[in-house]
Amino acid sequence: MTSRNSFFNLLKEDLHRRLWTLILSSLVFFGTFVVAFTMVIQNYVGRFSRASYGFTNAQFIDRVSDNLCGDFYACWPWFMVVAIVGAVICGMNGFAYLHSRKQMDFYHSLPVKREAIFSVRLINGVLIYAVPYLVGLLYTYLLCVLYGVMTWDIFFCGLFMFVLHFMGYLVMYLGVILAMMLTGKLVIAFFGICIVNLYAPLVYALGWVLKDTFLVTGYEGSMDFETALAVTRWFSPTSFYVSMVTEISESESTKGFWLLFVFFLLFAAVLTVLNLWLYKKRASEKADTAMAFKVTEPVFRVLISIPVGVVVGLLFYAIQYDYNWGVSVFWLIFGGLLGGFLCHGIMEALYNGDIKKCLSHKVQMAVTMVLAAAIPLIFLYDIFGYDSYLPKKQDIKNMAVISSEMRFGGTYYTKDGWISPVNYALENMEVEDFDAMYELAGILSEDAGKNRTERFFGYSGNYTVSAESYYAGGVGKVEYTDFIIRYTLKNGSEVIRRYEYNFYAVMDLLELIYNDNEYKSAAHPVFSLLESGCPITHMECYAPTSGVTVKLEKNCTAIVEAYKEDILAMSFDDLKNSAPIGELTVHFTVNEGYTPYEDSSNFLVYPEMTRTLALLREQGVYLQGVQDANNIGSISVSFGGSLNEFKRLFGMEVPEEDETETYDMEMSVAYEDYEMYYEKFGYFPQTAWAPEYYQDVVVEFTDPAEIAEIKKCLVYRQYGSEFGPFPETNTYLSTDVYFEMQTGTMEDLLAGEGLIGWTERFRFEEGNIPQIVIDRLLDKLSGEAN
Amino acid sequence: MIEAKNVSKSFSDILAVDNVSVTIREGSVFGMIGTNGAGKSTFLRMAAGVFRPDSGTITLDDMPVYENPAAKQEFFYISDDQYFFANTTPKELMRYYSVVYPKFDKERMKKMLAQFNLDEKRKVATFSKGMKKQLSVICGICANTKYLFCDETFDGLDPVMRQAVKSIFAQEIAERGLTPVIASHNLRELEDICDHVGLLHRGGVLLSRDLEDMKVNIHKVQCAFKADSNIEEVLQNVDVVKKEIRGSLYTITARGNADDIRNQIQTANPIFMELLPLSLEEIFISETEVAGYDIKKLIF
Repeated sequence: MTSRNSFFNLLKEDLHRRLWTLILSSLVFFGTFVVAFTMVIQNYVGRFSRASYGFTNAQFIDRVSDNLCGDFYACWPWFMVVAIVGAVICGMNGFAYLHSRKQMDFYHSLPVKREAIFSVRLINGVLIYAVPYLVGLLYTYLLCVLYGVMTWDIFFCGLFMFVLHFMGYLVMYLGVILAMMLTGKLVIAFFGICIVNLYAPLVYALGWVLKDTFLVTGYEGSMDFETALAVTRWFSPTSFYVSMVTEISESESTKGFWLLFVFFLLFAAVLTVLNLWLYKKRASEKADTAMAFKVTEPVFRVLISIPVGVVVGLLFYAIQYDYNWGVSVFWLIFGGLLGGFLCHGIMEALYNGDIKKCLSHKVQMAVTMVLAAAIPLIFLYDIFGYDSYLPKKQDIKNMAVISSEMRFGGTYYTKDGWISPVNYALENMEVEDFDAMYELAGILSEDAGKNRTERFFGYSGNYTVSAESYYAGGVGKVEYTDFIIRYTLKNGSEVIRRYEYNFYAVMDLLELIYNDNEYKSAAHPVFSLLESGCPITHMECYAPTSGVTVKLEKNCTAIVEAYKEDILAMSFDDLKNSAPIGELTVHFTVNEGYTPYEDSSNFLVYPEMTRTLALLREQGVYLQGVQDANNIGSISVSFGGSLNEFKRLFGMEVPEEDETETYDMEMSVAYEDYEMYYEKFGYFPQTAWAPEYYQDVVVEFTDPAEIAEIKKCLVYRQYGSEFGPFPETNTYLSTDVYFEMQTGTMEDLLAGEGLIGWTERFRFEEGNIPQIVIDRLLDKLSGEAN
Repeated sequence: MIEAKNVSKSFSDILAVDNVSVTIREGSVFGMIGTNGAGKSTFLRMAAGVFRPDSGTITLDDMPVYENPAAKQEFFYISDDQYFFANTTPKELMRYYSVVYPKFDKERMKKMLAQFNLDEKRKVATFSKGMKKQLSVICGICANTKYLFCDETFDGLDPVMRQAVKSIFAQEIAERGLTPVIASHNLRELEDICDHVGLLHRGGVLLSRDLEDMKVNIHKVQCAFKADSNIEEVLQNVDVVKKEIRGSLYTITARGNADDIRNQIQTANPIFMELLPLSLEEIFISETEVAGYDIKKLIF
């Protein structure tokens, strides 16, 4: 055994050998702390001590402390780069001797056990990073003390960030050592480092791309690299480090850190033991060979060649894919085979240092190529039935359905902070009486199969919807929207799928779903607001018929509670047949992270909301519908589009010679087939909507009788579908209502009988556009067209 | 004593050392000779604990060598291309070795550096190949270990330095019983220093024997005869290994007792006769021929 004294002497001697890395590290931390942080501290001290701020000494210290702590967090990208680059340098420099035969002869003939050599190298690599960092940090503390601004916050903040980056450095460093242990040449080791760090997140990303490309009902949406790193944190040092630091730095909180710290200790211990074990097993003669362990050669070769083959297959797919023809399976397979073959061959050549060996291990190569080609096909043909998934009804415990067109606007919060409306619904909706939801899921999953065929194997028949059916009844009856369905199974697992389907085709089911209070309570932001516990500071109530916004500071929580009750009481039909008469804006404080901030959420008020309206009236706020307003000076209706579009919109006949919108035809003609098309039909297919005369026309109604007729059909829905469980409709016509000023009391004003020249935008009720409006617009459009 | 029993080592599909059994006694100089690729360096690396034998055992004073610092403290290994730290100086090396080898003699190293005219503060990287070899030997001697493993150490040393090193070895052997184990492909280099020689070929040991034992049974005679001499008839009774004739001068290498050979040749009435010392090369020729090998094809 190496004595303690001898061990420290070995440490000292090894440090002599690695002096340049120590100097480099010292320079980096000197620049960071002694230069940059000195400037920062001087800047804060100079700025906040100015008389103009008027801070007391305690406030001055607090402000400097807050800012400095913020900087400790904000500098995480720099510290991360330092730690990652430092780990690569220290790891490669410290263990490069493993790749040199001369050094192997030297070190392994010395009367020192391998454990001691390993420990010395490992510890010095850690010290080279940690000591200059800590010295720099101590200098910063000292400077704060000298300026009289040192606080416990600064102390713990600086120390915490050190611990955080030290953890990242250590894991990265151990990862680099692992790569050095497994390889025998520095160039291969560098590739090894990339693989140890990036393989897991990249394979995860590739899986995501495959899923995203070939499965049509995936819910998660586009992949973000942050998620890839978080998911693979225990399989890659880089993933561990980056996800840990970004999570903690961005939340500026140590929440969950200590559990992570325990896992980190385990992770680091496992890596250390693994490295030591490999070192003891590693044969000295493996220096200067590509791989140190024969057994790892096929593992790495196959595990790398398969994803590379898949990537090449996807590349060929992307180059070849045609929207109309779909995918060519041949090129997908060919790409996979070619990529797998090339990668396998290149790696074999690298292992042997001989290009002639590239065809070695033919069976492994064949298996690799087949897998590289087969994996995308598994996704393409949905072999595991991902898209057609529909669990048995008796296996489901509860369900959730959320759609962009079937929720309300507003901001969603939970106790933990902001949450997206979809996530809020998915987390909170647990409908156990899910017959309607299950029926909807059946329709959607069946439709998903059809979508797959069209998407990947070309469109069959006429895909587009005819103008008659699209504009049936004067309003659009085709509104493809998203439906996200979550199944919570009795075995505890959760499955989420996302579909696209025509909203109107399943409206009956949606009505049943909406009328369940369980659904409402997870779909409307008012419930999340009350449950989040965010304190309500005040409210504002807006009356569209007057343009007045009234600030309310009393009984705010009671009003929100009443609003909640009103929402529960209103059915799908109520909402569909009603129209909002005002809008509430609820302001509240969010205690998320270190700095509380204010946010707001908007809620539409309907005439049926008797509880809410009663409480508003108690505070002198009267809301009325546009139908009740008697101060309308004029109504302007505008339409943007061609005459033929207008005619189709309202079910009128369009002259045959004007039917130049060969929309159906163009969809089925690929650009390459133009010549063939020309030969067949004698003219080229249309590539865009028919070049009809496009115009914006506005008609104004000032006659009180006409105004009275029109206003009956108007709806105040400022933000379309965001404020109700229906798609946005009637986007072709917009209506500006001009309210004239009248004299009167404040009550009159609030009741909408006031203000000069207030214009508010309204929409026509679905399928309820007065004939007078249609006629006037048609006249104007026809006149301008002629 | 170093004892290798049935040691084998292969690299991928190349068998470098094949079932070698050798015993190296203390206090003698063991020369290990063989062609390039014969397995000398591999054997020494196994003896130094750098490589782990695939099979067989190597013990040093009855201690296994591999991963055994106690055994490794008993030898110093000088590889064929010795490693020196980047930017190091002899002084720094001295400090390092004194940490690693408990009996390292710093004072002696300083003296030897002076004797060999090597500046202790000069960067080793600026040394010539020969100077680096000298430095390695000095470090090895000053480590005060019982055994010194030298792989092609004399390669690159000029004749004067070679003699100086040999005399240091001789002195160390005499004073403290140092056992140098010297691997070389050059027989001439080893013949005046080795007591015991092992010949490796294609990973196996062809022979391992004391040089003196080999010398007892083989002799070289230089003699001259008149033209009518019956020397050719006489030589029928002598076990001649090699015969060279230049005019009337014969150089005969023959096996057997020295007196018997002399007496036989005397019967041919030589004008002149002298027994000459045999070179290691000549000894090997005879010995390996006995073993059924044509040594000339093996090592020359």
